Amino acid sequence: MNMLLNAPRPREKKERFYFRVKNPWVGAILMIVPSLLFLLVYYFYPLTKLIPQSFIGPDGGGTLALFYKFFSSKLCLQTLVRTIQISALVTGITLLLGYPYAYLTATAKPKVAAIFLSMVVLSFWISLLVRTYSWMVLLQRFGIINQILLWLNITEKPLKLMYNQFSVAIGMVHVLIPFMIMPIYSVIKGIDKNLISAAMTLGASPSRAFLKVTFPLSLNGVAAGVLLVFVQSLGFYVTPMLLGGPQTMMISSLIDRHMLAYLDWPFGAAISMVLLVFTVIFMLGFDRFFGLDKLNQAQL
Amino acid sequence: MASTPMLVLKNVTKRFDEVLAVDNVSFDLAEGKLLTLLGPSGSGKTTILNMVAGLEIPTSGEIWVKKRELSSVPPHKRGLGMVFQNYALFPHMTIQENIAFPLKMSRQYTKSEIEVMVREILGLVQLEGYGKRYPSQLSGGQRQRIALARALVFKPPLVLMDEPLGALDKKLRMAMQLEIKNIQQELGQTMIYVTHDQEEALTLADKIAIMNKGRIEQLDSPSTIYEYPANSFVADFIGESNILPVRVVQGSDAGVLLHVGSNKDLSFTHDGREEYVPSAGEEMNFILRPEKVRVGKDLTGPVKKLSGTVKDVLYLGEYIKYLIALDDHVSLVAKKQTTGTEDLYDKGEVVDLSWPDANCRLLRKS
Amino acid sequence: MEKASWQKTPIWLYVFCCLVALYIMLPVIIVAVMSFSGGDFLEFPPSKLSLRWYKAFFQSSEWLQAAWNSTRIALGVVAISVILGLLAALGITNRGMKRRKVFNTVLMIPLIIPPIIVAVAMYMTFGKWGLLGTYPGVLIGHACMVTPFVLILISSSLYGLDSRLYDAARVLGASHFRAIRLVVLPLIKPAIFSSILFAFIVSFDEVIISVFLVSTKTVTLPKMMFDSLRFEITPIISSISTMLVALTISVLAFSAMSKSIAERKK
Repeated sequence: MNMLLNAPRPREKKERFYFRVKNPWVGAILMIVPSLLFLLVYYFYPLTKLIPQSFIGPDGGGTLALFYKFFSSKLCLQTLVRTIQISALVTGITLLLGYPYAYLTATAKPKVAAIFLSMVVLSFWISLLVRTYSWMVLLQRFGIINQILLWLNITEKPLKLMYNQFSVAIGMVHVLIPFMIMPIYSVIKGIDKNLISAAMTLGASPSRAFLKVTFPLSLNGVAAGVLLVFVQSLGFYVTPMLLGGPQTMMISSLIDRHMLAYLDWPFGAAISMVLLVFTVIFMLGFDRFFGLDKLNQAQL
Repeated sequence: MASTPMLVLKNVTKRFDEVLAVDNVSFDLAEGKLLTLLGPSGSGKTTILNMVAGLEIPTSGEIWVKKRELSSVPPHKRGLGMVFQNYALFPHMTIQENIAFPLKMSRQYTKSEIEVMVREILGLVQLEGYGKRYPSQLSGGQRQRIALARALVFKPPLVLMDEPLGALDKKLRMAMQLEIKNIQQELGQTMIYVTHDQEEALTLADKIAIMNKGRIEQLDSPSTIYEYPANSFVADFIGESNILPVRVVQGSDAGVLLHVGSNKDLSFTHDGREEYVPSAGEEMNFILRPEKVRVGKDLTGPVKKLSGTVKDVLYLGEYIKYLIALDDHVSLVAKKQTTGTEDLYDKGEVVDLSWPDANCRLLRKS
Repeated sequence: MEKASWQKTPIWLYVFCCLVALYIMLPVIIVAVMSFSGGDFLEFPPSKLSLRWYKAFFQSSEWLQAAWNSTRIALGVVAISVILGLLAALGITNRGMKRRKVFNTVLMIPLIIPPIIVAVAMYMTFGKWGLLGTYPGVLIGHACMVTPFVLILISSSLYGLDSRLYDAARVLGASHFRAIRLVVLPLIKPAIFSSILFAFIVSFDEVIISVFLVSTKTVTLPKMMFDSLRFEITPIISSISTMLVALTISVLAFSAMSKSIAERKK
C-alpha cells in the first residue's frame, strides 16, 4: 500500500494550444454542418428554385398563368384525379393485405415470424425496377398468368392484363406493401402482451380482445403506413410508367413528358409544385390528426 | 489556519428551459473528506455532479477546484475522476485498457509506468490478475470495483460518484460501502458521493448535504442531521420521524406549552436550543424519533408526557413498532428494540408515553 | 410449449398470409427461373436451360459500361453519404446538442418528398450549374437521397449505446474527438458496416433521379434498363434483374452476419 504513495506524481504540463470549446454543443453542431450544408446547396436550393420557375409567364414575369393552365386543362385535371384515385386504391389494398400479414408476423412464434418478416424485408430491398419488371413479364399477353388461364380453360383468348389500371395497381401494391407492413408490425410488436391477458381474464374472447385492445393500439402503425404508402403513390414514377398505358397516366408521367419530351420546363415545374402542394397538404392534415412523431415511433 | 477547501461551489444555478434544476447552491468541501449529496430523484444532485465534471455548464455561479475556476475548462482538462451508476466500463477494451485509459489520455506516463500503476490499483481493489479480461466477463460488484479503480488510478484531486452502488443487491451494496469508505480514508481521497439511499449516506459520509428541489436543505455531519434536522423535510427524509402538528398555547425562552390534537396539552423544554421563540397561536411541527418514545403503563410524575391507545402492533424481528392513537386524528409511532422476553401491549390498551425533550424539535411548517 | 386453443393463430390467417407472401415473393422467383431460358423468348418453365441471356449481358459493351458507371457512382455515393451521415448522426445524438428534433427533421426531409419532384428540381438547377450528365452530378443527386438514410441507421445504433460511455471518456481525459474515435466509433462498427452496404445498394438501384440526371455517357444500369423496358420487354433484362437480386441478397446476408458477429462478441 505504501507503494501507491510513492508512485509517480503527474508532471506539470506545459500549456499546449488546444481548441477551447466552452459550450459542449459547438462540437456537436460542427459535425452536423457538413451534411446540412450539402443538402442545403444541392437539395433544398434546387427545390426552392422550383417555385419561381413555376410562376414564369410568357413575358418572363411572375404570374399564376401556368397554374391556371393546369387547372383548366381537362387532361391535367383528369390526371390529377386519377392519381389520387389510384393512390387511394393502392393504399386501401395494401392496408387490407398488409394488416393481417403484419399482425401475424408480430404475434406468431419467432421462427415462423422470422420467415414472414424476412420475405417482406427482402422484397423491400430488391430494386423496384426488378419487381416492376417481374410483373411486366407475368402480365404480358403471352406471359404466365395468361398461359395458366388458357391452360385451365378459364379464358379463350389471352386477356389484356397490362398497360391498364389493373397492372399499375398490382405493381404498385407489390412495391409499396412493405411500407404498410413494417410500421404496423413494429407497433403491434410493441404492444404489451399483458394487456391481452388482462382483457381475457376480464372476460373478453380472443376476437373481442383483438377488437378492443390490439386494434385500437395498432392504429398508430396503420396511420404511419397509410401516410407512407399514399404519399409515395402520389408521386410514383417507375411503376406507372412501365406498367401503365396512356389511359392510366399519373402526375409523374405528366411531369416527365413536359420536362423531358416537350422541354417545357416552366409548366413541368408548375405541375411539380401542384404535386408538392398536395403532398404537403396531406402530410399537414395527417399531422393535425395523428402527429408526425408517430411516424418516428412506428419506423424502427 | 484553515487550508483551502478542495472544492467550492458559489451560487451555482442550472436552468433547463423552464425547469430550475439547481437553485443557487453553495458549499465547500475540505480535502480528504467525503461529502454525500442525498435527496429524492429530481432534487438536482446528479446535475451538480455533472456540472463539477464539466458535462453540463452552470447557468450562473462558479465552481472552483483547488483554487482553479472551472467554467472555461472542458471536461477532459479538469483532471477529475468519476464513477457512474452503470459502471460505464468500455465494453470493447480489456480491464487493463479501461483502467489505463485516463493515464493514456494525459500523455504523461510511459508504458511501463502505466503498467505499474494499473497493477497497483488492481491490488487495491483486490482484483489482481483480471487485467486481460473484458467487462462482460465480470460480475456487477467486480465491475464497480474496476470503475472505481479507473477513477482513482491517476490520483485525481477529487472523485465524483454518481450512485455507483445503485445496480447492486443489498448485501453486496453494504459490503461495497465499507470497502469504498476504507479506500477513501486510506488514500485521503476527496469525494462527492450522490445517492438517494439514506443508510448509504449515513455509512459513508463525513458530511451530508440534503437536497430538495435544487436546494440544499441542510449540510452537516450525519449525527447533527439526524438529531437536529433543520426542517420538516430533513426530519422526514432521514430516518423515521413522528411529525405531530401542534399549536403553541404560550411560549417563553426556555419552554413552550403546546396543544396536540383535539384535547391534549404538552409541555416542551427547549432551553433556547431552537432558533426563534414561537408565538402563541402559531401552528408548528413537533418532531420526535420513534425510537426515543418510551411506552409504559401508569407512568407518574413529570416523566409522563402523553397517553394514548394502541392501534397497531407490528413485530419486525429487530424491533417492535407500536402505532398509538392520541385521538381520532393524530397518532404516533414508537419503536422498541426486542429483547426476546417482553410482553407486547394489546390493541386497544391505553398506554403512557414519555421521551426526553432533548431529542425533540419544534419546527415551523415548511 | 403447447399453446391453448385460444392462443393459437387461426388457420385462415396463416393461409391468407401465405398467399400474400407468395404474391410478394413469387414474381421475382419466377423471373429468376425464366432468366435461364434457352429460347428466344422467356418461358416458364424454361424448356431449355442456358446462360445465353447472361452471356448477352457480359458480351455487351453498353450494358457493361452502364454497370460499371453504376458501380463507380455507388462507390462514390458510399464515401460521401457515409461520412456525412456518420458525422451528422454523431452530432445529433451528442448530449450537448440543442434543438435536436429540428435538425433531425430537416435532415430527414429527403425521405419524404416524392423523388420525382426532387429529380425535376435537380434537373433544372444542375443544368444551370453544368452538372447535368456528369458523374459528379449523378453522384451528388444520389448522395442527397442516401445520406438521410445512413443518418437513420447510424443514429438508431447510437441511441442504443450507453451515453455514459462518452461521458466517462470525456471526464477521464479524452477530448470530444478522441472520445468519439476511441469509444463511440468502435462500438457502432456494425451499424457503419451496414450503412456502407445499404448505401451502395440504394445508389446502385436508384432510378428516378438517374433518369433525369444522366446522359448517354454516364448512363447507369437502372436507367438503361428503364429505357429499354419502355419500348419492349427484352429477355436480357431478366438476367440483369436476377443478378441484381443476387447482389441484394448478398448485401442483406453480409449485414446480418456482421450484426450477429458483433452480438456474439458482447
